[in-house]
Amino acid sequence: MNFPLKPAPHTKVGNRHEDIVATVIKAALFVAVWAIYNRFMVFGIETAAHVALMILVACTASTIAHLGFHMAMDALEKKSFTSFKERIAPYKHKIRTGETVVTGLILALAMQPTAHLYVVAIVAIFAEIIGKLIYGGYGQNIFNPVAVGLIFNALTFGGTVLTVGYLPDIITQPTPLAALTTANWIMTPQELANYFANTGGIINMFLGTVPGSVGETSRLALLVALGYMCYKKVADWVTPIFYMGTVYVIMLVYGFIIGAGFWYPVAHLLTGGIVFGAVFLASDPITTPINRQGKVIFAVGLAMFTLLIRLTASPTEGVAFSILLMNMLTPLIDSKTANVTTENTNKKIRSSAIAFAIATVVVIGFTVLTQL
Amino acid sequence: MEAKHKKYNYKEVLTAGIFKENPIFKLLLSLCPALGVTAVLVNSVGLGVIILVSLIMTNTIIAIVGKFVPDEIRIPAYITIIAGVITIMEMMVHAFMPDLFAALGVFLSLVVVNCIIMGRAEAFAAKNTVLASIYDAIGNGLGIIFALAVIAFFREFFGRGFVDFGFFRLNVFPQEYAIGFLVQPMGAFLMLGIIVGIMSTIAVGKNNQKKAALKSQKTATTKAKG
Amino acid sequence: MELFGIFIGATLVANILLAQFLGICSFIGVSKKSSSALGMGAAVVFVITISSAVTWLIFHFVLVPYHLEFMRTIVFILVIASLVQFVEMFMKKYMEGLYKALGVYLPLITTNCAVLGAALLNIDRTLSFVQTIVSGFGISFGYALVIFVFSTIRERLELSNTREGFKGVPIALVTASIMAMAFFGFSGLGG
Repeated sequence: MNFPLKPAPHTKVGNRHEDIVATVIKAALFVAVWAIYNRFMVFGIETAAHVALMILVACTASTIAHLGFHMAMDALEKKSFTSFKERIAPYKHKIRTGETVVTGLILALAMQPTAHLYVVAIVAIFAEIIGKLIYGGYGQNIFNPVAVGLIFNALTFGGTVLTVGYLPDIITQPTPLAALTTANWIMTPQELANYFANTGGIINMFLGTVPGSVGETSRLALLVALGYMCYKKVADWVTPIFYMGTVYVIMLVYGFIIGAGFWYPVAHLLTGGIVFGAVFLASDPITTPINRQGKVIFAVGLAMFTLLIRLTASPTEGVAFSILLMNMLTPLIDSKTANVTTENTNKKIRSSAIAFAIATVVVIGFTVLTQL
Repeated sequence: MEAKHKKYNYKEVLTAGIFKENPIFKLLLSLCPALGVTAVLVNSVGLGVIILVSLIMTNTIIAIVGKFVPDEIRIPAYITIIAGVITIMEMMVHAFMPDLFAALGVFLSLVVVNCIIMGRAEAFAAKNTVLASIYDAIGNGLGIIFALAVIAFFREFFGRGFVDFGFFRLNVFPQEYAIGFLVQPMGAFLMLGIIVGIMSTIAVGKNNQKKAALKSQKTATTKAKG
Repeated sequence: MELFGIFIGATLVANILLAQFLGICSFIGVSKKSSSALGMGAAVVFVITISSAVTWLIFHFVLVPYHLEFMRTIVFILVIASLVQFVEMFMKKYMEGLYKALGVYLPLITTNCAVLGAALLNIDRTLSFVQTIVSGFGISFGYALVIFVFSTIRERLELSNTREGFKGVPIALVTASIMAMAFFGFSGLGG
C-alpha cells in the first residue's frame, strides 16, 4: 500500500514549512546562546567569539550555496530572466523564513570548535547542496543534511592542519569522547570514577562546561530545546527518548557484563553526540519514519548502530554515521509499517520488543565476541 | 549481405562514440572503471587507452568472424574472443608497464566484462564491415578516454589541489584546502553523479530553448494569420 | 570466528558495490523497483557463491599445477558463463517458480563485473576453500543488501521534486555516494 503521495514533512495539520523551520531555529538558537555564554564564562572570550563566528559563517555560506545552486540550475535550464532581481525572486521567501540557514546553524553547533572558518564554509555548502538542494530542497531529502555534513567533515578535514591557532589549549585537548575511545569503552568502576573526575564530573558534562563541540556538550540546553520542539508539535518525543533510552538500557546490561557498574550508561549518554543527535537529528520529521511504530524501530536501530560503531573503536562520529544508516532504511521502514493501524497495539508492542531484543543481542554479542 | 555495400559516413561513426553516444556519460555503461580508477588521472588515461586498443582488436576480429558464428553460441563465443584479447593485453601491460599494471589491479581483468566491448561487438561489429567497425571502436574508445579523463581531472583538481598529468603537474591550490573526499571511493559516485546531472540539466536547457523557440514561432504564425 | 569476520568484512566493510565499485551497471540499471532489485540480488547471491567455489577448485587443481595462472581471466569468465547457462536451464526445468522470478536477470549476471570481480578478488587474497565460499557469500549478500535498500530509496525518490536534470540516474549516484559514506562507519567492524 502506498501512502505518502506528498513529500515529507508529514507533521500535524496546520504545521507549515515555515512554522517548523522557525521553531527549529529558535530551539537551535537557544542552545547556541547558552553554549556561547558557557564558553565565555569558562574558557574566555576568544572561544565564545569563535563559536559565534562559526555559526555566522555556516549560515552565510549555506544561504549563498542555496542561492548559487538554484541560480546556476536555472541558468543551465535556460529559464529566461530579465534582471538579477527576478532571478532571486522565487527564493527570497526561503531566505526570509530561515529555510536556508537552519542546516548551517545546527551544523555549526556540532562541528569541532577548533575548525578553521574555511572548513566550516565548505562543509556548510556541501551539506546544503548535496544533503538537501540536489534532492529538491526542504522536505525532499532522504538523508539528514547535518549528518551528511558532519561525515563529510570527518572524512575530508579529519586530520587537517586547518585549525585556528588562537584558541586556548583547553579547547584543543582531547575531548572526553576521545579519551573513552582510546580506552575502548571498557572500564572498571574505579576507572569510571577517574574518568568522571578528569572530565569535570557529571554535572559539568551535563551543563556543557567541558571541551568538545559546542552543540554536543550543552546537554541540558539540548533537552530544554527538545521540550520546546515537542511542545510546538514539531518534533515527536518518541524517537529521541526511545533512542537515548535504548542506549541506556543496552549499556546497562553491557556495563554489568564488563563489570563497570551502574554509572556506565551515564558515561555513554554524557559523552559525544548522542543527546545532540537525539534532539536535532533523530527528531527531524523529514528523514525519519512517519508513524510511531516506524519511529520506535528507527530509534532502536539508531541505538544499535551508534553503540556498535562506538564499541568497535570505529571513527568518532558514531552518531552521525548511525543517523545516515537509519535514514537509508527509513523508506523501507515506512513501507513495512504503513499497514499498522491503531488497533494492532499488540502487534506494535511485539515488533518493538523484537526490534529491541535484536538490537541488544547484536550489540552485546558482537562486541563480546570481537573485543573481549 | 547488403551490409557490405552500405555507404558509411565514417566521420559520423567516429564522432558518435565520442560525443553524442558517449558510452559513459550518455549510455551510462562501463561505470565500474569510471568509479574505480578515476582517482588518478594517469591511471584513467592508461586504462582508457587499454580499452581503446582492446576495442579495436575485438571489433576487428568479430567483424571478420561474426557472420560465421551460429546464433546459439554467439555470446559465449564473443566472450571467449574478448577474454583472449584481454589476456594478451594483460600480459603486455604486465611486461611493459608494470606500474600501471599494479595500479589498475583487478580493473584490468575486468575489462573483459566491460559492457562497452561486448556491447559494440554485438551491436555493431557483428553486423557491419571491418573498416566501419574499426572506426566505431576508435570512436567509442576515444569517448571512454575522454570521459574517464574528465572525471579524473575534476576529482584530482578539487580533491588534491593539483593535477598530475604524468609528465607535468598543474598546481592549483595548496593541498590542505583540497576536498580530499573526492579522491576517496564515495567521492567517485558523487563526482559522476554531479557531472551526469549537469550534463542532463544542460540537455534540459537545450530542450527548453527549443520549446520556447517553437512557441514563439507558433505565436508568430498565428499573429501573421490573424 | 574468523569466518564471521570474513563474512562481515565482505558484506559491510569492503562492500562490493559501495567500496569496491564492482557491479555498478546492474546496480543503477536494476534498482528502480524493489522487486527487481530483490530478484537480482537473489540471483547474484546464487551465482557468486557457487562460482566462488568452482573457480577456486579450478584455479588450485588445474591452473596452478600446470602453471596456467595467466589464463585465469579466460577460464573464470567461461566458467561463469557456463555456470549461468547451466543454472538457468536447471531452474527452468526444476524450479519454475524461481525461474519466473529470477530468470530474466540470470543472463545479465554473466557480464556483471561483480561476479568476475568476486572470483578474482578471492584468488588474490589466497583464501582457503571454505573461506572463499564464505567470502563469496558475504560479497553477494552485501550486493543484495545494498541494491535492495537502494531500490527502496529510489522508489521514494520518485515522489520528490528533484530538479529536472538530476532526476533518475544523477540523484541515484549522489545517493549512492551518501550510502557509501554511511557504510564507511562500518570500517571498524572487520576487527
